[in-house]
Amino acid sequence: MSNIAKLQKVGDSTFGRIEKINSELLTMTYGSLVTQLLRDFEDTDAVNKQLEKMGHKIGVRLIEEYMAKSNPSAGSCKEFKDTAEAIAKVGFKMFLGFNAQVTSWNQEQTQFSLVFQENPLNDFVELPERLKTEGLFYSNLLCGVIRGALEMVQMRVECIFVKCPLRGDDVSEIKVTLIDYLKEIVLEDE
Amino acid sequence: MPAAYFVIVGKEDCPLYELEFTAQGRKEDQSQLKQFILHASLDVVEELQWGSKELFLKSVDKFNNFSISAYLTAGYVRFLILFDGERKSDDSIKQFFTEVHELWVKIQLNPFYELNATIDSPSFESKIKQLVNRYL
Amino acid sequence: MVLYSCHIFNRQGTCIYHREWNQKAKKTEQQLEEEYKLMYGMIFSLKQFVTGIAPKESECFHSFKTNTYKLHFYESPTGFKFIIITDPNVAQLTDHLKHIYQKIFVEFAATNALHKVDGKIEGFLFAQQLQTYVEQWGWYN
Repeated sequence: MSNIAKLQKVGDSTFGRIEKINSELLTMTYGSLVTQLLRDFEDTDAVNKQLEKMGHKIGVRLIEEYMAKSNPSAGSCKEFKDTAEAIAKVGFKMFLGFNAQVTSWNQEQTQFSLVFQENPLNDFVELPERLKTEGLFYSNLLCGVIRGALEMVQMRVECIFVKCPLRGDDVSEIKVTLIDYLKEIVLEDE
Repeated sequence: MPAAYFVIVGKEDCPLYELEFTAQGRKEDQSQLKQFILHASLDVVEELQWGSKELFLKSVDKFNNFSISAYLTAGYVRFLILFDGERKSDDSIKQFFTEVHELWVKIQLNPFYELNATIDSPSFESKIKQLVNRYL
Repeated sequence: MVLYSCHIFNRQGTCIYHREWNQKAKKTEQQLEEEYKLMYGMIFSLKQFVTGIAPKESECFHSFKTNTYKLHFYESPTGFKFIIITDPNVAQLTDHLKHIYQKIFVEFAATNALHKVDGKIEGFLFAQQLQTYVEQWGWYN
């Protein structure tokens, strides 16, 4: 448990240090991005995929920021379990300003859920009924960010949104599944 | 609760949202008439808007026992309410409009709401009804 | 005390940044390519060897030196390798390499949207910042 408290502290102090932007600017930018995607693709599944892809591109860069700013030596991740807590307590705090809870571990300890109440991306948003039934996950970008970030530290994961308050659930929940650890690449001699 | 007709009129003079509420137990069949009167009062609002620094214009028009109050947003969206018979005090109407204004701003911030489109959000409707119960 | 060169390798083992100081002979493109390959191969094997023989779980190596030069090494958690070569009298540079990663690489390359994640660092700002930083060392030339 003390590890979690330590991570929480790292998250808080890093959050205090890094630059912040107005959350409405972020919310509105993200909102117009999603609606533009919906107009361009006219297919909700494709939009979910696009958001995830964009998130991935963000994630592979954001991880550098995370590593550089949070001084992760304070709580380096030896097991997947530590990774989960680091995402929830440091990653979420740094980039979104709140903590998430880690729940629902499976027996093999390769799958967990990130549960959170707040989500600045969701502010002001109300999904039209059509998009609810078609299954738009408005904040699907976050899944991509987690996948991209972990890929850069040698973990291949799958991330899916399972609950979203915009669709009537009480909380947001992202399910993260570890697929495998990537090996360091050896340069091949031609 | 008095009988009244509330409408949000967009920049292009088209109604974005309408809500009619009637005194209990009374059957009303004057919707068209009320819409007509409200529409006519837009001209009065246009005249009065330059004479006041307030967003709330109090009572702008009267016709028989109908009276109309108006509120303008900076983006020139107008909230109008028509009372049939007894009308509420200016203070409570003002409070009602101010809170509607806040709801309206939130609606506009929703990325799925297109500007100048009619408002069909069920949560907006239920919140307006709450405000009506509280202030009117 | 002088600074000789700085190399940055990505996770695929490609050299994404290279710069030399205080060296007279200009190397040809081919020589450079050869040098990158040898250097990455050496670092990679050395790393494996070092962690392989360690009696308990340990960090990687920080530097090694010969009669004529010293090679300093730092690897970011995301697998980017930073290598600086100086003359043998220079003290441990780990903190400086960390600084180059945290304050220069991350700020001016990794989070620059025009920079490809595993691509060569072409931005002018990165080079400029690195130059200003090494100049602060006083001994770089």
